[in-house]
Amino acid sequence: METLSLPLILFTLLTQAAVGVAVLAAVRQWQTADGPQRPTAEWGTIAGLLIAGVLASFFHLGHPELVWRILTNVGTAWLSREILAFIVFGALVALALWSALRGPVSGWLLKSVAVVGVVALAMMGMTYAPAGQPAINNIWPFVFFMLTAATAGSAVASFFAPEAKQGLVAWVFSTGALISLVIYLAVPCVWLSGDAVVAATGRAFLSSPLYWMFILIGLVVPLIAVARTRRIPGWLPVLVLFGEFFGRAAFFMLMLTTGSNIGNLY
Amino acid sequence: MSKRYAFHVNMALCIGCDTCAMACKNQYHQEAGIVWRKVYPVSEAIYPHRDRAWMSLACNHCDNPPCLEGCPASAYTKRDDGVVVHHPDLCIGCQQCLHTCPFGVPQYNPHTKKAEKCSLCWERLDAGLQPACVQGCPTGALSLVDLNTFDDPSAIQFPPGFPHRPEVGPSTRFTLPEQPKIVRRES
Amino acid sequence: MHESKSSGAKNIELALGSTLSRRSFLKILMMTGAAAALPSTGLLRSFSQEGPAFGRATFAGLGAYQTFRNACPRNCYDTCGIVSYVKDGVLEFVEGEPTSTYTDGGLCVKGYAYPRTVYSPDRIKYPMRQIGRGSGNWERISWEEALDAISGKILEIKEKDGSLLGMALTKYSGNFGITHYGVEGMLSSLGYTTRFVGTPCWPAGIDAQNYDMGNMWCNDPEDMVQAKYIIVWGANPAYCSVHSLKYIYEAKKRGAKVVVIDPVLTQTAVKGDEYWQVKPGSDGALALAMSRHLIDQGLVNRDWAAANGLGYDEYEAYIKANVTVEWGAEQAGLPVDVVKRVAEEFAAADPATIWIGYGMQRHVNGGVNVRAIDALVAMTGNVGKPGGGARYGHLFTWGFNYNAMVQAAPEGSVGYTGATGPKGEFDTGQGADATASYTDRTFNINKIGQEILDAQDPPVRLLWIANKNVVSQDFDKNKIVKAFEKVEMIVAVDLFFNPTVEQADIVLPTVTPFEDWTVNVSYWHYWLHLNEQAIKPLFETKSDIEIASALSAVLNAKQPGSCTFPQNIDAKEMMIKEFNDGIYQLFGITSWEDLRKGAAKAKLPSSASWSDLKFATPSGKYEFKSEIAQTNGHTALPEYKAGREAYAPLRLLTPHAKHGLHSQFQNLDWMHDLNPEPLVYVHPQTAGAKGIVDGDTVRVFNPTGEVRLKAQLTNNVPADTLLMYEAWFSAKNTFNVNLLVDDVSSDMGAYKTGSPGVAIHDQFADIEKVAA
Ligand SMILES: Nc1nc2c(c(=O)[nH]1)N[C@H]1C(S)=C(S)[C@@H](COP(=O)(O)OP(=O)(O)OC[C@H]3O[C@@H](n4cnc5c(=O)[nH]c(N)nc54)[C@H](O)[C@@H]3O)O[C@H]1N2
Ligand SMILES: Nc1nc2c(c(=O)[nH]1)N[C@H]1C(S)=C(S)[C@@H](COP(=O)(O)OP(=O)(O)OC[C@H]3O[C@@H](n4cnc5c(=O)[nH]c(N)nc54)[C@H](O)[C@@H]3O)O[C@H]1N2
Ligand code: SF4
Ligand code: SF4
Ligand code: SF4
Ligand code: SF4
Ligand code: SF4
Ligand SMILES: [Mo]
Repeated sequence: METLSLPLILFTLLTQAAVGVAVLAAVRQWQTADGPQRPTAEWGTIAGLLIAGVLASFFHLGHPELVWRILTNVGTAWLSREILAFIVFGALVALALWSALRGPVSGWLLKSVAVVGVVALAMMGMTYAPAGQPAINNIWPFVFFMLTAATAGSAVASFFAPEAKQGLVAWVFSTGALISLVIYLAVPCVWLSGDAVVAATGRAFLSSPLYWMFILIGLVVPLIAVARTRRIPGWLPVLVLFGEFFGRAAFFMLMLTTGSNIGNLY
Repeated sequence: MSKRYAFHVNMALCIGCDTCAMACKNQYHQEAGIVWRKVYPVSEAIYPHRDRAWMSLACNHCDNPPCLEGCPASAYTKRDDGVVVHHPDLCIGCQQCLHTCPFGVPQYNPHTKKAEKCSLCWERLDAGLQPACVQGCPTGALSLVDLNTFDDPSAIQFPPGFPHRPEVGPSTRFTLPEQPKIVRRES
Repeated sequence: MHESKSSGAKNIELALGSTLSRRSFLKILMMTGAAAALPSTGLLRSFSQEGPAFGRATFAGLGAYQTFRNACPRNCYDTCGIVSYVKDGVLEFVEGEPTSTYTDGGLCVKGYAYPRTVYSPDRIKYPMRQIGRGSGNWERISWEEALDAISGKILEIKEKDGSLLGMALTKYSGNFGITHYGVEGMLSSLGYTTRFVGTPCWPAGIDAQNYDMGNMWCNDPEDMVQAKYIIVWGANPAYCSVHSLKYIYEAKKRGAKVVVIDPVLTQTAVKGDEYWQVKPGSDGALALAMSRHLIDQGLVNRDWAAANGLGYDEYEAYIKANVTVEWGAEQAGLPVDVVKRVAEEFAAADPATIWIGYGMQRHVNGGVNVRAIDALVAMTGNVGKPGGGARYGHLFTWGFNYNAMVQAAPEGSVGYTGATGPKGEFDTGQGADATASYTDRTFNINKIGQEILDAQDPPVRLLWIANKNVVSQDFDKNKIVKAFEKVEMIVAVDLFFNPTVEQADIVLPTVTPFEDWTVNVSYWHYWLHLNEQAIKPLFETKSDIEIASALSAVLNAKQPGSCTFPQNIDAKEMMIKEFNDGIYQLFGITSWEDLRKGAAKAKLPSSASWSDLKFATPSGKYEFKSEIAQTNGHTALPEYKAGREAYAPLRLLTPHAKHGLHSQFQNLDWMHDLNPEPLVYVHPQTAGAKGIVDGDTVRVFNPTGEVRLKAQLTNNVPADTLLMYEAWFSAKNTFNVNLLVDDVSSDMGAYKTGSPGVAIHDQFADIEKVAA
C-alpha cells in the first residue's frame, strides 16, 4: 500500500490522453481524406496535455533539479527509456503542431507520432511493471495504459472530430470503454487466485471505493451516456478523466509489494 | 578472488530483540520513521507461535539487483564484493526502486527527498570492522559471511515468509528456527 | 480512570517544540533571550531545519573519533560496557565493550538508542517550575531560582517541625552508577529525613537466599556453558538479559538441556528444549513436588545435604508428610509424568543449575517459593559447583567506598528515634553511626501512596524524587497521585518529562551517563566498567551529585552549617574517591585508570559462588531450616504457601518489556519506530468469548483502575491470563500498567532490604471491548 502521488496520477493520465488523441488524429487522417476540423487546436491540445503531464511529473521527483540524471540509465532502466520515448514523442508533437499551423500535417509525421506514442506507452507499461509488485509485473500496465489512451483519448478527441466523424470517435470510445470494463472487472478477480500478494492486491481492489468509483464514473456512466446518444457529449471527457483519476489512484495506492508480506506465507 | 558478502540470519538463535535494527540507527542516525534493518515477525502459519520467530532483514545485496537495473539515475552500484551501494548524491528521488525491489528494502526519506537503504556498512567493512548490526547482535544470530566460502549445510536462500525470487539472487542466507517441546497447563 | 492526553502532555509538546509548535517555541526562546543558552539550535530537534549538530551520519573511519569508556547503568542484569565514539564534541555512536567477554562488543536495542537519548528533542534542558501539577504549565527558571525555592522549603520545614523528617526521598534504579548514591548522601547531609526504603524489584528472593545461604550470591553467568541442565525459572533473559543467551546457547551446543518455566510462552521459552506453562505463584508447590519425587526415587544427594546442610531431614520429613508429586503437579497445572521426568533428568545431570528470575518472586508467596527452588538445587548437590547453582543475583562486587553517600548530619540535627532496618539492598551499613541517637524515618518504598497518606508528625512536606519514575513504576497510580496532593513541594530530578515529572512542582534536568563520571558493576556478572565523561553536559543539566553540591552551597549561604555535602565537587574526583584497595585487589588492577584500557573482571577463586561450601548463615551451612526466617515470621522450612486469591476473572501479568528498561528508552522516537504502541496480549479463546478481535481497542479494568489499549491475540498466554508489558509513554499516550497493580506486599524482603516486596504478578483484571 503506497501513499497517494498526485503528480504520478496526472503524469500518466495526461500523457496517455495525449497519446490517445494523437493516435486518433492519425487514424482519422489515414482513413479519410478530410483532416480534423481544427488541427491546430487538436495538436495544441495534445501538446498541452503532454506538457501538463510532464510538468506534473516533476513534482513527483524529490530532486527535480537533478532531472537530467533520469536519462543516465537507458541501458537497463525502463523509466529512463520511457522518458526518452516521451522526449521523442514530444518532439514529434511539436513538429506536428508546427506543421498544423501551416496546413495539413503530413502522413509520415502522423504515423510517426502514433507509433512513437504507442512505444512510449509500452515503455511506461514496463516502468510500472516493477519486479516488486507481482500483480502488475506483467503486460497489464501496458494494457491499462492503452485502454486509458483509447477512452480518455477518444473522449478528448471528440472535441476535434468533424461532425461526420463523431460516430467513429464515439464508437472508438464505447469499444475502448467496454473492453476496459471487461478487463478491469476481470483482472482483480484473476488476481484473487494468484499468490498471497497478488490475491491481496485483488482483494484490496475489490474492496476499495476508488476502484468502484472508477468503474462507475470512468466507465459505466459514460458508456450509458454514449449508448443513449450515440455520440460523445461535451461533458463526457471531463467525467472520463475524473473517473480515470480514481482508477489510477487505485493503481498506485493499492498495489502491494512482495516486501509488504515478509514473514507471511507467499 | 573477491568476496561475496552476505548476511546469514540464524533464526534458531534470533530472539527478535531489535538490537540489530537499533545498532544501525545508532550508526547512521536515521530519522524517526526510517529503519534500514527490520526484524519481521514470522506468522503463525509458518512458526506456530506469534512473535516468537523472526527474520532480521536489511538489503539483500542481490546478485541481479532490480533496484540497480531500474534506477533511471544510475544511483546504485554494485561493488566487487557484492555490496549494492546507493549514492545519495546521484539519487533524484523518483521512488522507482521502492517498487522494483522485491524485498521492500529502499525507503523514501521525506526529509532528504531521496531513497535510502542499508549500505552493508561498506565504510566499516573497508576499515576492517563488522557491520554495525552484526557486531551488535547479542546472540550471534546475525553474521556476515562470504558466499564464496560459506558452506553451512543448514543455510537456505528462500525460507517460507521470504519472497521466492531466484532470478534476483538475494544473497541473504537463513537457518530455520526450531521449536521446543511445549507442556501446556492442564487446568 | 482512563487517561486521555493530559493537558500536561500537550504543554510539554509545546514546551519541547515537538511536532507543530516547535517553531513558535523557538520564537519565544528568541524573544526571551533563552535561545542564546542553547549550545546549538541543531540539538533541539536534531533532524530539522536547524542544522546537523546531531544529524545524519556515516562511519567516518576509526581515526575520526575520540573514544571513551562508558557503562550502561540502568538496573539491567547485563550492565554493559560501552565504547563511545565522539566527533567534534558530539556523541556519534556507541558500541559494546569488546574487552568484556560478557558484553562481547555488542549492546542491546536500548543501549544502541543512547545517542538518541542524549540528543532527544524531548530531554529536559533547564530547571523548570510547573504552575499547577499535571497542568503542563511549565516555565523555565534558573538554577538559582530553583535552588532558592527548594532550600527555602527545607529551611522552612526545619523551622516549623524542628526536624527534617518532613523531607522525604524516593530513589531507585534510574542510574546505578556508584556516585549516584550521592543522592542518599545529599539527604544525609541535610539531617535526618524520611526515606522510602526497600526495592520493588527482587527483595523477596534476596531474603530467601539470605535465609538459605546467608547471602545472595550467584555463579558467574559465563560458567553456565558448563551446565548439563539449565532450568530458567520465571526469568526472561531474551528480553531482560540478552547477553546471557549466548551462554545458554553454548551450553545447549555442548549437550545441555534447557527447560523454561513461565506462565507465558516467552521468547526465552521457545529457545529452550522444553517449556512448562506453569500456573503463576505455584512454583513453590512445583519445586516441592519435584523434591518429593527425588526423595521417592532416592535421587537426593544425601551426602551433600548431610555435610553441608542444616535441617535437611526435617525438610524431607515435611515433604513426605505434606507433599505428593500429584498434588504439586496439579497446583502447577502440569502433568505428573512430565514433572517426574524433569526432576529425574535434573538430578542426573552434573552440574545442573536453576536461573531463578525476579519475575517469579513477585507474589505473596514469592520468597518462600524461591527458598523451595534453592532447596531443590541444594538437594541435588549443585550449590557451590561451577556450572551449577541457584542463580539469582549478587552484590559481591559492590564494595566501593560510597563516599558520595556517606555524609554526616549537620550538628544538632534532630531525627527519628525508633528502630530502623536496612535502607535497601545496597545498604552496606557504611556510615551508620551506632552511637547517634537519631535515625532517618523509613517508609515502605513499595507503598509510597499509602505511606504518604498515612504519614503524620510530620507529614511528608517535601518529596525529592531521583532515579525513579514513581508514577509510572510504583503501584496503584491513582493512589499515588492522590497522595501527592498532600505533599507541599515535589522536586523531580530527571531527563525526560515522564508521568512523575508531570506531577512535580520543580524539575531539575540531569545528565546521561555520557556527560558524567562514575563507575559501574553488575548484580549478575563480575565485570567492572569505568564511566568517563565523553561529552560536555548538554544545556543546563547537572548530575545528581552536582545538584547536591549546588544545593549545599545555597543552603550554607543562607544558613551556615545547614548542609554537610561538599560544596565544590569535581565529578571525576568524586568517582575516584569511590575506589579502594579491596576493589583494586578484587579486580586485579592498580588504579582506576587501568579501566580506561578496558573492563576488568573480578578475580574469583571459582566461577561458582559458595565454592568452599562455607555459607554465611549462622550455622555456616546451607539452611534448609532457617531460624532467622522463623524469627522474621516465616516458616523455618520452605513450606508450601498458597498464592493470592483471585479478585477478578483473569490473571494480570505486567512483566518487563523488550524495548524499554522500565520506563526508560521506550519514550524515544527511535524506539517508537520499533515498538509503536502498547498492547495487551489475550488468548484467542478469551478474546472470542468477549467478541474481541485482533487489533480491537479494549478496556482492561479491576478495582484498582483501568487502562485502554489495543489487544493482540496470541496463545503465548494462557486463556485465563492477560499480559501487558510494563511501560509505554509518549506525549500522545500516557498508558500506565500500574493503574491496575495494587500495592499488596510479597512475603519477604523486609529482612535485607528494609521493606517487603510487592506482589506485582498477583494481580487480576477483566477485559472488554471498547466501542470504536
Ligand atoms: N529489556 C529489559 N531488560 C530488563 C529490564 C527491563 O525493564 N527491560 N529490567 C531489569 C530489571 S530491574 C529486572 S528486575 C530484571 C527482571 O528480569 P526477569 O525476572 O527476567 O523479568 P520479568 O519480566 O520481571 O519476569 C520474568 C518472567 O517471570 C514470569 N512470571 C511471572 N509470574 C511468575 C510465576 O509465578 N512463576 C513463574 N515461573 N514465572 C512467573 C513472567 O511471565 C516473566 O516472563 O530485568 C532487568 N532487565
Ligand atoms: N507493573 C509493574 N511495575 C513494576 C515492575 C513490573 O514488573 N511490573 N518492575 C519493578 C521493578 S523490578 C523495578 S526495578 C522498578 C523500576 O522502577 P524505576 O527505578 O522507577 O525505573 P525506571 O523507569 O528505570 O526509572 C528511573 C527514572 O530515573 C531517571 N534517571 C535516569 N538516570 C538518572 C540519573 O542519573 N539521575 C536521576 N535523578 N534520574 C535518572 C529516568 O529517566 C527514569 O525516569 O519498577 C518496578 N515496577
Ligand atoms: S540482534 Fe540478533 S538476535 Fe536480535 S533481532 Fe537482530 S538478529 Fe535477531
Ligand atoms: S534487496 Fe532490494 S535494494 Fe537490496 S540489492 Fe536487492 S533489490 Fe536492491
Ligand atoms: S529513488 Fe533514487 S535510487 Fe531510487 S530509483 Fe529513483 S533515483 Fe534511483
Ligand atoms: S549492514 Fe550496516 S547499514 Fe546495513 S543494516 Fe546493518 S548496520 Fe545498517
Ligand atoms: S540495557 Fe542492559 S543489555 Fe542493554 S545496553 Fe544497557 S546494560 Fe546492556
Ligand atoms: Mo527490577
